[in-house]
Parts: sequence; structure tokens; C-alpha cells
Amino acid sequence: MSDPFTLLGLEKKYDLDMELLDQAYFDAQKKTHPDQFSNASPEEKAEASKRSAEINHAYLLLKDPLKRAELLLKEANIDLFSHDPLFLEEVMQWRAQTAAKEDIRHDLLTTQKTLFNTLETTLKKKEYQEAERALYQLTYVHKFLKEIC
Amino acid sequence: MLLQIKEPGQTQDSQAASKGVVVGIDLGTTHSVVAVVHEGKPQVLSFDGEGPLLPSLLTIGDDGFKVGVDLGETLSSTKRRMGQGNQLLQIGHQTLTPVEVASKILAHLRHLIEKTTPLNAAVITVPAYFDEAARVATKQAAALAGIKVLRLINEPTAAALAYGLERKVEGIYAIYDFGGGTFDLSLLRLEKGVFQVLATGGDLNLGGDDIDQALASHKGLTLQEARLVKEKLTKNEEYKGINRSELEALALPFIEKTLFIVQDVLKEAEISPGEIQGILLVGGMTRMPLIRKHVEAFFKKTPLCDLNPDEAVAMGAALSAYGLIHGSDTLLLDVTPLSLGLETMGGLVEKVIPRNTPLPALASQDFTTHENGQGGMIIHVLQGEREFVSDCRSLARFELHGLPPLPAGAARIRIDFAVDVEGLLTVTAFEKTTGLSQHVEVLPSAGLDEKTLAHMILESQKHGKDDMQRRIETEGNLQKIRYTVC
Repeated sequence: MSDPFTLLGLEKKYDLDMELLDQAYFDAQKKTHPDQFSNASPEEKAEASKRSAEINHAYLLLKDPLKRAELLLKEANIDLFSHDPLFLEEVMQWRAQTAAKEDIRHDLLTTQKTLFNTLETTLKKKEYQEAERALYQLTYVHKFLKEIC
Repeated sequence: MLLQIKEPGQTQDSQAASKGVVVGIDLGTTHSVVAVVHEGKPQVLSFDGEGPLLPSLLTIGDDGFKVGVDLGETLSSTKRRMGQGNQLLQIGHQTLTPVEVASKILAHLRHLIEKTTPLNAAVITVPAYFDEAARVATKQAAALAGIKVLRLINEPTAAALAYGLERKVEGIYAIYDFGGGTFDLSLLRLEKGVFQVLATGGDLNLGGDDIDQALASHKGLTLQEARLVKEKLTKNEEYKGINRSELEALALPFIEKTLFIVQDVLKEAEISPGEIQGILLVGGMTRMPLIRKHVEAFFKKTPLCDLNPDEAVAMGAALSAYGLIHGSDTLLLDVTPLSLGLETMGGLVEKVIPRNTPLPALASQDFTTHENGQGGMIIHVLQGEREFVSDCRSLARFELHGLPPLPAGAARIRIDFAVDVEGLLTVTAFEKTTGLSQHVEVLPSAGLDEKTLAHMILESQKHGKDDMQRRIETEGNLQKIRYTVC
């Protein structure tokens, strides 16, 4: 399976225009979706179903800001993920704060925003180590926010 | 390539667009509706003295089964039992499975259609929240009724299709579908011929029937009487000494339940009520003024209901059927309503395909052995959102035999999931440690030759009409064939 960017005919970059992504996705599905093959042979239908599923998968990866970054880092042969005990301590801190009924949502949302900015600029400048670090932290922030919201 | 996708209906002659009409069928819990596309427009069909709303009711008289009328003893709302294993329903001296009841209703619809023109094929709608087993059961029922199914589509998606193509609405829409037996909420993005389902949720045991029941037991009425009172109170403030406010007090808890589901789906899709361009009301229950009021208050928008809420689904199904046969620029991108996963250690479920994944979908998961020299492995496929196996719906269970004798953790078993556009699942497992690969498939029974299927059920009927055991075995066999390990 070719990489998601190529599959949807999109430029390999982080700051994808989401409308462009949707359009590329719809265009690709218009050509491959199994409904377009309802009069075709079983083999053709099966092939269309498989390709259509790959396009769906590619779309989900590209739409997700974390997975999209991961794809670009993998493309650049960067190992995921770094390990940062200091940062993990911070995560523990959030847990403790949340358990103590302290509302840290606003802080975390600000952190998330900053990290996304870092991710975008570093990926643009091909500063992959920094980008990987930002993604590592974002993964935790994202997961944590999902849990408490 | 080890992965195979078996397309349901592939055993059929694919010389499509042959003779006859293609229709859309809304096989509802309380009513069924048939529509066709005529001169580019969807139209619901009325049949000589019947319809367009045909009661999904099976009754028994001196000369056998009858559909749509009440001769005293009836089976109703059996759609709620679709796909729930070997359930048997009693009517007269007969016992029927929910699949058989549905097939009799479908056969009756086919008969009505074929009074004027032969039926070529149909699109049949199912609740978006129907699980895999209920979808398979619906296809079995159609096969038994001799109806070629072009495709199953989800009811709210069908309604969106009707609104999108007929009323040209665009943007993000919420389809609030409150029918006789089920509640569905789907969020769709509609634009330029694309119908993209963003998220869906629902409750298969929440419908107008529940409100009838509540009213019946509160007022000491029969269900039929309660339903009539409920319907009359849509327009009237009072009917047979019962005030609308009394009905509303009984209905409120059910309405609140639907709004919790709406909230969940919006949250899951990360969409706020304000981003919703419009709300489409579908299903007979949405005629109730209190429901309209609450939906309007929730979204702070007046819902659209310019298509008949009982007919929109069948109309959308007809448009879909027409498009599938004659070709169409319309693209329908639906999602899986429930997560699919596998049992892992300690009775936990590992999700392989999360809910709201666009269809068709493919996903794989690698597993290994946990004992030295382990020769086999149970693969248990589940559907649902909960963490524990016991809280999820079991779809299939089979054993992978003949694993090579390896130390614990050395074998590599890959399990592939493929879900087609109808929400039907195929699971393939293979083990590839030693270069030898073993291949196991789980086939949806919809892929089963329809003649065999019909024959099996006929056989079971021939050998004693009261032979319940045999009937159970037949359905058991279907289940077995469905999950045969090749």
C-alpha cells in the first residue's frame, strides 16, 4: 500500500488544508467506492472494496493531526517515541491535580496549542528531533484531555 | 494475498438491470414502506387497498399466514428481535423465528409489487445501530422471500439521501430518527453529491412502542388502543378522556434518553450543536409535538420535516437502488455503528475497528501464543463498546488449529477484519512463523448460497410444524455455516 499522501495525491506536508483533504478523499472515493461497481464482476467488486478501504484508512490518518505528524516522521526515518521521565513526572502531576478536583483543562488546552504550533513549525523546518519531542508530549496531553473532558 | 473479501450476493447472476423494477424498502418495526423512482423522482407505492404504510404485522387465519392485517392473534414489532440468536415466536400452533417473520412480510411486499410489475431487486434499510448479526438476519429474510438485495443502507442515511437529493440541503445535518421500535441519530455532511456520515449512535430498544406500552399500562389500555390515543393526541389536546399532557409526562423520559444519545454522538464527532446546519426528523414518533419542541430547544433550530417522516427512508432507499442499477454521481460514505474487536487475556476486548470508522474498512491485529508449544488458539470476535467480553455481543468464535510447536510468544498470528459497505464482517486469520501459513475465514452467512438457505429452512418446516428442536438446530446450523473454518 502506498503512503496516504500519495494515495490521495496530496503534497507531503503537515499543514494540510482540510478542505483540500476532504476534496481529494471524495474524488478518490468517487472512483473506487464499491457502490460504483454494483454491476461489476465479483473480482472487480472485491478489488474496489479493498482500494476503497485503503483510501478510508489514508483519510483517517491524514485527518488526525497526531497521526499525520507520525507519518511524516516515519517518512524521515525518525524513531518514535523518545522517553522523557521528567515530562512523565509532569503527567503524574496532572493526574494528582485532577484527582484533587483542580481544573487544569484550560492550562492543558494552552499547552496543547503551543505544542501543535511547535510541531507545525519544526516539521516545516525539517527539525525532526524537536518535532518528535513535541509529538511525544502532545500524545500525552491529547490522551489526558480526552479522559477529563 | 491472503485477505479475501466475500461479497454478499456474489452467487447471484450479476447481469444487472435485467427485467423488472428496482425498489427501496423501509422494513420498519411497526410499518413497512416501498418506494420507486419514477421519472427521476422517488415515489412511495400504494397498493390496491393497502399502503403506503403497511403494518409490519403477521397474523394467522384459517388459510394460513397473512401480513398487514390483524385476525386476532398477531406477531408485531419482531424487528426488535432480529439477529438475536435462536429466538422462537409463537403464533397459533406455529413457531417462527424473527427472520421467518421478516421474510413473510417481505414476501408479501414482493407479492404486492409484482401484481403490477416483476421485481428485479431492492435496497432494504436497517437502523444505523443494527449490529452485524441483525444485518445478516435481514439479508437472510430477503433471501427467503426471494428478493435480490442490491445493498442494505442505514435508515437515517437513506432519509438524508432523500432530503439531499430532493431538497438540495447542504452542510452538516443531524438526522433524528425516532421510529416505532428504534432510535437512531446520525450526523452527516452533505455537499455536492457526497453524503458523508460523520458519526452515528442509537438505541435498538427505544421507540414509539415503549411509549405505547407506558400509556397502555398507565391507563389500562391495550397496545393498539394506546397507539391510537398517542396518534390522536398529536393533533388533539384531548382524546377519549386522556389529555396530551398525560401522554407527554409518560413520553418525556424516553425523549430525554434520545437527547442523551444525541449529546454522545455530537461529543464523539467533536461537533457542537451550533455547527449543525439543520435537523431532519424521520420516523413516525417525530410527529409528536413534545419531541419537536425538545429537539428544537436542544439544537436551537427549527427541525426540517417537509418530507413525510414515515416515507423519507423508503424514498431514500429507492433513490439508492436506482443509482446502484443505473449509475450515479452520488457518493454515500457510511460508518460502522459499533466497535469490532477480539477477546484477549482475562476476558477483555481488544478493539480492532473502532465505531464510526468509514466503510469499507480493513484492519489487522497481531497476536501470539502464551504457552510453550501451544497448538491452537480460540479466536472470539465481538461487537460493542464495553471493555469486557461479557458485556459485548459475540459474533463468532472459532479455533485456529495446527500452530507450529514454538516457545510462548514466538508464533505470529495475524487476524484481518474486513467490513463491507453494508456493515458485514469477514474475519481472516493466518499464522506465518515458519513460512507455512494457515488460513481461516469467517464468512457472513449472506454469502451463503440462497437456495441452500431456503432449502434448510423448508426442510425444517417439513419435518413437523411443531418441531421446535429442529428449528433451533437449523438456525444453529446457519450460525455454524456462517462461521465455518475452512
